[in-house]
Amino acid sequence: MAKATKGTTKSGNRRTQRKRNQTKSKNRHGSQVAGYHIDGATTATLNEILDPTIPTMSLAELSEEQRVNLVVSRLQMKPDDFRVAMIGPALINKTRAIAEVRAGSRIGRTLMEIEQALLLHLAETGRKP
Amino acid sequence: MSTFIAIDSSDATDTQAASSYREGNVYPYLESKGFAMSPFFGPLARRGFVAPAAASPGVTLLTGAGHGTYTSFIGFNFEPVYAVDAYATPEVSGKIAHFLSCDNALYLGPNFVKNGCLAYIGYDDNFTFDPDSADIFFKCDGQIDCGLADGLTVGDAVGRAKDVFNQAIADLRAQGNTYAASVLTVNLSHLRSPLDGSQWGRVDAKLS
Repeated sequence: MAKATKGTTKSGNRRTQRKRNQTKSKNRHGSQVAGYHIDGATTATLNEILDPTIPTMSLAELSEEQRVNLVVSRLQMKPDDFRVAMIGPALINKTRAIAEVRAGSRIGRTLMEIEQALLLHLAETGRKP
Repeated sequence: MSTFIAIDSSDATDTQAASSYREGNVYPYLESKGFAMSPFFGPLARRGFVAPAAASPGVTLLTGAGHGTYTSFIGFNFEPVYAVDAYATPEVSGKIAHFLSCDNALYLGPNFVKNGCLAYIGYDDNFTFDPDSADIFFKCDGQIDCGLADGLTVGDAVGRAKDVFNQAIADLRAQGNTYAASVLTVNLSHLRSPLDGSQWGRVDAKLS
């Protein structure tokens, strides 16, 4: 473990590391599809959604079809070894996750709920001054 | 001595992961607080074994991990251990029930309470977890049993567990693992207990 350098503290280092992780995470998500432009046809990145000069639709304004397409687009961007587990369906890989969301199955609906919770969080934290 | 019935089917990778955490952490904690465990693991997690034990005197808590549907808690080999109106009242009456399982807080939980169960705690939709940080998820849920073992009321035990969920969500976000944080957020939103309404029992119920 790295020792705290002169003028810093362990908790200070932890805070810095946490800040770095959050910045890295923000940068990673910024260029990813996160919604739709106001025309409802073209997708918008998180950076565009957070840009007050660009008119975009909120999650609540999207149709079911738009939300499915949005979540599928986001799942397609995940690494090939992406997986999530559910008690019952067990391990769900990227291909299955996409298929379940497209099919509108119960598993798919849960995956949509997770992705929407993530989008809401990213938009909320991104808008903080 | 108060006894708890532990039901872990452990017959698939998902339930094995949950059971492994509970058997290594949650059940030993209950035992350390003076509760005797009546274990029904693997092939013993079937109705024929569980039902008579649950109806025995001294049992105060039904707990476990396994598959679930809206109307049932499933044991070994997909055999329902509990299903709506398919059990004897003494199996649940006067007891607290907590299952780490999908869905069954919707109908099975209220059905337990209608038949005398003091409180039911569980999930009304899929319980999802990140396989690479699974123990974080099971630890949050396990706080419910630990709180009860500490003598808290159901309301306080669930409240403490929710604090642990929220702290874990904040920690995962701080680590940049925003997806796992969202998975945990969704699980928390589907956690049902007497805090959500009397159909899940009494907030002031506690283990005796």
